[in-house]
Amino acid sequence: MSWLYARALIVLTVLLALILTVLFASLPPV
Amino acid sequence: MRKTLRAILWIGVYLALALGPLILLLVTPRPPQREFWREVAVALGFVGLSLMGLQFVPTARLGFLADVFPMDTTYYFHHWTSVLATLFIVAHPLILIANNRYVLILFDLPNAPWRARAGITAALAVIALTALSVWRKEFKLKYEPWRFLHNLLAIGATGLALWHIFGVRYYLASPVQRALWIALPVVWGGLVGYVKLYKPWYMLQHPYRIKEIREERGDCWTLAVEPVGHAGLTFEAGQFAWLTIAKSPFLIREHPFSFTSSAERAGPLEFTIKELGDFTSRLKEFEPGTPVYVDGPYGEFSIDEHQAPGYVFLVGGIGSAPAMGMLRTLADRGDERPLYLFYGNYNWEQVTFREEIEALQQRLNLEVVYVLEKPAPGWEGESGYITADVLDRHLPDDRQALVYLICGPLPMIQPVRDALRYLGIPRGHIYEERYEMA
Repeated sequence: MSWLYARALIVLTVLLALILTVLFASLPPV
Repeated sequence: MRKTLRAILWIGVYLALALGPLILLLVTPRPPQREFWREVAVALGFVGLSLMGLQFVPTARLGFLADVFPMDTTYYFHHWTSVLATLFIVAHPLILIANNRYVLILFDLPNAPWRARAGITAALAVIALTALSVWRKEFKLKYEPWRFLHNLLAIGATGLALWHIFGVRYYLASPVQRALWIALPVVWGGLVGYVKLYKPWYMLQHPYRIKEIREERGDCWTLAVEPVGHAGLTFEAGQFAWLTIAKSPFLIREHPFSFTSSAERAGPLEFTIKELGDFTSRLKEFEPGTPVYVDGPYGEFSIDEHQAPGYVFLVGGIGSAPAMGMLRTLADRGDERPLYLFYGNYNWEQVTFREEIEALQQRLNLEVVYVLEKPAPGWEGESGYITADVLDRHLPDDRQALVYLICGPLPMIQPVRDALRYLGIPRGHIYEERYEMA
């Protein structure tokens, strides 16, 4: 069961990292 | 439930520390934007480094994390986030080059600036680090030299990567970013220092010594240790501790073992250990009086963590060690709940604790089912493995209400878990402890 959570957290980390990366690269500085 | 909340909280802290640097870059003032792909590459580099830094957190040795996250899960997580961080870190220079070939000039190491040399060396060290871990067996590296190399490469790579980002200084020109990238390594280093320096120092002040080593059935030895000049520790039946025997606690040579003594008795702490690896085979050579350092207790594989109307222990070989600790504890408490022990072994002669289990049956409401892989002719009990059929024959009708604790070698755990699921036991009633590292 806990393996499932570990996998979910890894996937979540990747997704958030990629979303933030694209946001960072496309949004102008504040 | 409280445990679930704590797990969610720590996962939140993890995500904040992993992605915080990027979020802060988004919301604080930063220098003018450059090409899209160049910024993508930079962001991946930052995330890769923060993910790698978090790998230093010694989850298994920090009580507040080890209580919430099982050790095998944290190793799994460590392994796959390392692969991920490596991909991000490798993508960083590759995307920079693809975006602008002129970047290749920085790879001319003799003439490149130090910030580029540091970055390239860091990336190579990260690749080596991950490759040596994923293919340790293919590289024929023994555990201890590998571990030394692993730590060395990890510290080297992180130090060089920090040099690289401070050297490039594009985003770190902002004071917020500089403060963040000083604070993060301080946190990583602080946690490592706590485990590698403070804890060993504490253990030196609170030593134990071997009281007795006695032989058990099935090539096992029971090690009894007593505290020297202090009160010792209390634990929950089923938990484990890391032991360092006859060596300085500052040397990284500890091994995890389950408590097999009763948690209700004040006497020496006992650990029953099977002769499996180099360390466990040398165990019997130690003399009484030998200093021992105990770091623990750890783990949540315990009857006291999971209240139930009765328990079923499903163990294979020396996986019986934590079950034995729990049975002894329950007997000392005069517990009257129904208990079942399914105990897989190679043959009857190797059944560790056999005689004592018989004695415990007089004190507990305990049904024992031995399952022998190679029984002698004339054996009338169960043979083969602990299968759904075997379980079905012995478990009561109200089996769904019981809590199931599986402990044994890796190849045993999954089939037993599948058998329980097949019999309709709810997922939330099954707990497991893998015995791989002894």
